[in-house]
Amino acid sequence: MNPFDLSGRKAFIPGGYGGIGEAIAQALAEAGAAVTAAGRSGDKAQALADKLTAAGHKAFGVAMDGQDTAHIKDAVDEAARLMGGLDILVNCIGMNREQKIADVTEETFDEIYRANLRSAMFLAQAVARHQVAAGQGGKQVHLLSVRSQLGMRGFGYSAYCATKGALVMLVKQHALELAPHGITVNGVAPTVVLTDAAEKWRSDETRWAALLARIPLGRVAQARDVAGAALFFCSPASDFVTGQTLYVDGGITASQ
Amino acid sequence: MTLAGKTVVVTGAAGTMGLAVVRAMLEDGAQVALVDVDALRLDSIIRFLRGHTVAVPCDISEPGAVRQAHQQVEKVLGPVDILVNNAGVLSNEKSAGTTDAEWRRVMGVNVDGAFYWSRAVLPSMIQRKWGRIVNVGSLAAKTGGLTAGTAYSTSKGAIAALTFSLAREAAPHGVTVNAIAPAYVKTPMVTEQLNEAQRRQILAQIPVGRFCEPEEFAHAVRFLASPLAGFVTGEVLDVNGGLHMD
Repeated sequence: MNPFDLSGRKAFIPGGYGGIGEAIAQALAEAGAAVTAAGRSGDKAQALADKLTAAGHKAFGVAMDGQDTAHIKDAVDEAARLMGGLDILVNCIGMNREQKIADVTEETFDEIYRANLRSAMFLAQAVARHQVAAGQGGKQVHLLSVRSQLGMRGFGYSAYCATKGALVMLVKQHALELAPHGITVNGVAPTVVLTDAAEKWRSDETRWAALLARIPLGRVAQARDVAGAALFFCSPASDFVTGQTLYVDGGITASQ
Repeated sequence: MTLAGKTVVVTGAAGTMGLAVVRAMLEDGAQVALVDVDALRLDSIIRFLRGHTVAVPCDISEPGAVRQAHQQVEKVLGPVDILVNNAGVLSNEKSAGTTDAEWRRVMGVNVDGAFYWSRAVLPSMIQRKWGRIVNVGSLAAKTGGLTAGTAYSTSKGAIAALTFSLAREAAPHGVTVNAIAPAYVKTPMVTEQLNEAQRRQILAQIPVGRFCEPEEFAHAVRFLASPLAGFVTGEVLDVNGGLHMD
């Protein structure tokens, strides 16, 4: 038996066409799951679905505005309809806008809160409704961050750190509420991952060098590193693991 | 998830959890050295295993015995790629009931043994730029032991610190070091030492409503040894059914 096999499972991946989301969608599809990627751009979600379909996988794309709860519910229902069920949620939605404490605006703070925390709540709710109704258990995984645990020295990270920290507690509470239904809920917490979105880090040589110096493994995470942890939490291998956060950080939190 | 060509050492291999790990590693194509203090049990187990195995009787609390056992493994299977420091003994005695001998016995196996084996295999892993060490901690290190005693809880706290320290030392060389902190795996060590009232009380506290299957513990080892976890180091992975979340 391969404990990482996802044959016959159906996974919904909001934020699924970003650098990390795409790697996760690919990993889950390669493990045998049908996947539906979702995000603000239905075209990008569909493009990823087409790519996966061309590679022989079962994949769909749907448009979803994570800032809008009704939209979230509709997108989840649509994904369940397309795949004929819903077993797995991997929430890859996340955003950041740097603002130092003196400059934080209500608009930006609320926007990040809605993207990072509020959407996670209502994604979990909408997916849990399908999972509980089906009575087959299930998996929910949220993308956290090393900023769930560590503050960010020298930068304006109030909204990001606070919302990612709160996600840890959301994971724990959902784990408890969903445990009686055989649904596990866990978090994957990476450090900076080598994606297009991380390019702004790379362009700042000092910041990049400082980042590398802090990572004991001596390299920056690839998207597939995060996908590996997500696959573990989506697979039967982790059926007894719930309410946990796995740091995929090359040793950063172990040493700070 | 192939481990073809990899050499794995599992300590405490004759126990329920150790054997589950051995089976998983063999299934993934690795060759496995089964290390255990119980030579007779090792002998009877190894007959039933398919794959490339070697039985290595060893009291891991003795540094000389570990050195010898390690040499034997290298001679038969080659250098060690993956070390699973699984061996452990349980003591439910709280401080007042812990004798000097009990304290030494628990520390000797749980801490000294893990250290001696790690020290033995690390140089070659570092030299070959790849290695995986998986330690076995416990929920007891974080809770002070729900039913486990003082020496056991302390020894598992030491395992967490050993994991962090080795992870830091080995990270620049392609070697990851992590720990798994299981709670209430269905082993004789755990289940036979709980009375019925304790059993029911603990089950009621575990959110997923059941004890951990030995195979589920092995899956976590598999994950940490696999390419899926290549960027994970210095982590303690809790496998506890939601009994403790931190």
